Amino acid sequence: MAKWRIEVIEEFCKGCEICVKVCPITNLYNAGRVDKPVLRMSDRFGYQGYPVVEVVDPSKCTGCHLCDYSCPDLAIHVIKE
Amino acid sequence: MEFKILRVDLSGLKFREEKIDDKTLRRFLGGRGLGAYLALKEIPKGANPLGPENKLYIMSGPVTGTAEGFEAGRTHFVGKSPLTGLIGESNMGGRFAPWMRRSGYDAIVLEGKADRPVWISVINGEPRFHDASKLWGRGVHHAEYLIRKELGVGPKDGGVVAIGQAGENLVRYASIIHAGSRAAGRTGLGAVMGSKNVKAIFVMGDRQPEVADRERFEKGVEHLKEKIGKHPIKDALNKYGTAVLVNIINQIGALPTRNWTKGTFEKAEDISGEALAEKYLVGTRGCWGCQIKCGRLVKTDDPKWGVPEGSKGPEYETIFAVGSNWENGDLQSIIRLNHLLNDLGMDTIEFGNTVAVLMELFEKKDQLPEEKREELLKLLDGIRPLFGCPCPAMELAYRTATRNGIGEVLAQGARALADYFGCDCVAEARKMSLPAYDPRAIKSMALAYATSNRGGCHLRAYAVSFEVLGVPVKTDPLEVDPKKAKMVKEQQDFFASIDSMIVCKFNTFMTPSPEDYVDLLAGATGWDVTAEEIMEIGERIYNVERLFNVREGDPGDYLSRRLVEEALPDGPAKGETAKKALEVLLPAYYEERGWVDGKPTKETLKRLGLEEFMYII
Repeated sequence: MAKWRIEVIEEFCKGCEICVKVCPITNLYNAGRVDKPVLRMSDRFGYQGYPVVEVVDPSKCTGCHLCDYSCPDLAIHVIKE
Repeated sequence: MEFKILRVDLSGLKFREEKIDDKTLRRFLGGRGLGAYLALKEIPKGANPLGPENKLYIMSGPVTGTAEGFEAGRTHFVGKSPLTGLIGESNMGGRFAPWMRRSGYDAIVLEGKADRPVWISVINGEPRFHDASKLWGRGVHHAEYLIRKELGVGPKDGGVVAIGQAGENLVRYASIIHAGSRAAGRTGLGAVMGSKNVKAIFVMGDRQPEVADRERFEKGVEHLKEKIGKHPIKDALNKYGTAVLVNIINQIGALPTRNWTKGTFEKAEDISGEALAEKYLVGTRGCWGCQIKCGRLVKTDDPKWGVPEGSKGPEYETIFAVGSNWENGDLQSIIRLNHLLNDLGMDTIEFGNTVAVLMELFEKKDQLPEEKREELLKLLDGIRPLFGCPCPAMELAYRTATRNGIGEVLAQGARALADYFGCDCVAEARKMSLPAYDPRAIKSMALAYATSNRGGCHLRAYAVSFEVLGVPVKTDPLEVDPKKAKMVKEQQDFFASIDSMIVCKFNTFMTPSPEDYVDLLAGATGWDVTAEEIMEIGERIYNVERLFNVREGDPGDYLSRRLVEEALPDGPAKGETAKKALEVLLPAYYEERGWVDGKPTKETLKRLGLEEFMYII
């Protein structure tokens, strides 16, 4: 299976949570179907003064690219390893 | 007049200074002219465009950054194009060239090839190399952010030009991007920069560009300021940007739609500059010193097509390339794609045309030979590029920039894609696909495209200005009149001079004659120039570029089959092709230029003082 690396550019992230909301695995986690999400909002604040998104378990990423295609600020990138 | 060049030897990681003497400068001014002259002299015949023997010239001109009130902040890039294999040059707005002059150099030339990724900073005459391994693989927005962070400078100090992932992966139409949105887009000079392993260049300083005759110069500036300030086109450009053209061009049936098979687009209203201004505009932005301020700052509402608020909006060409050419009437998707393509560092016109060809191939896949059809479907890997649907374009853009799957073929450009699958459905000249004015509906654009030295381009001669906008006089766009050959030729010469000074071409809508620029140029340089001399310099530059092409094996002045054989099915130009225009206008044009079969004659070269290049013809 392909491995994916998720890179968050924290300086660009303005904490809009779009990526967290569209991520299929994170949604499965919210429904209690998997034990860990791929993305979640962290407690840290980024360069723009908003809480930034963080990667929890990249090994569950399916490479669907929904997060990086929907990020308005091009702050999250899914890269094939 | 002094012109200082910084030569960057990337193979040995060394810098060298060079001065251009006044005599050469007066023959070529700077910018495009001097760049083309140096390229013809220094790039060896048959050089690999992506090899160390190619050079990239980053030029300013004698007027750059000297005054406010008209646009004099443009940068000109010259090199051998990886897309066409001929002369490659591209002009970019913004503030880079004024900062470059302030840093102490009027031009930067990249030579050789670095063995690892580097970026270059020039601050107050002190050039330095920096390690770019942390920047490599990043988009231009992030690269610029990291550079400014490392140097500790604010967002308004100094100028950065950078390439994105497309340039790094040698996509043949990669662009060089400044300030996130100002692009030296066409002819793929971003790939040349990428092939040299240069990620970015930063320039800053406080040296003031010198002006030889202040009094005369001020007179020239006042004249331009006044003429530009009270012209109606200025207000239209400020209010709606270049996208104001969408409705105008659609009305005369010259808005290429559905991969150049139609001339009008029923959803043109939705993607026009008026719609952009009404729904998504948050501000305007101009280049250095400009009072027109045609740059758009936009936002979107749809989270599917989100961009950061204040992102730079699409130009008319982009709206055509990823809008009407794909039959895509969703303006928000165009804004998002514009933002993404800038970040990846790709030319929107060529990318739009390439994907349009792919859409047509996908639509006609049953007509392809068996093995080609299977290969196309295998390369597409489940992506369905359909007309009217912008959704797969994001995926295609990423794949092209990283040369993944179908991206490997898309990265070669529209012509190469069509050839690869054996389907002649591309609109191009000299292997570069055409921008957003259909030459079948605007006859003199056919001549302008065919004779443009860098390939299909609307900026060598912007015949739209007299055919459609009525500057300086209104002509009938459908009429084929040999007189138009002279108008195109004169505009090409004039624009070559304008690109060398360097002033923005939008200023020439309001100041369409060379007389308007005599005082400005004479004041800035101290030369006693006349309007005739400005035109002669332009003609010399145009011949030098043509000589470069002739030396590299020019394919000739042509338009691709779609434009000369397939008639437009709709709109005011129904039933028209570009065939007659080329047949009538080309001979008249050669006569005007003193060329035979698209090549300058010995007499022409002698008249223009280009004897040193006689060996080429």
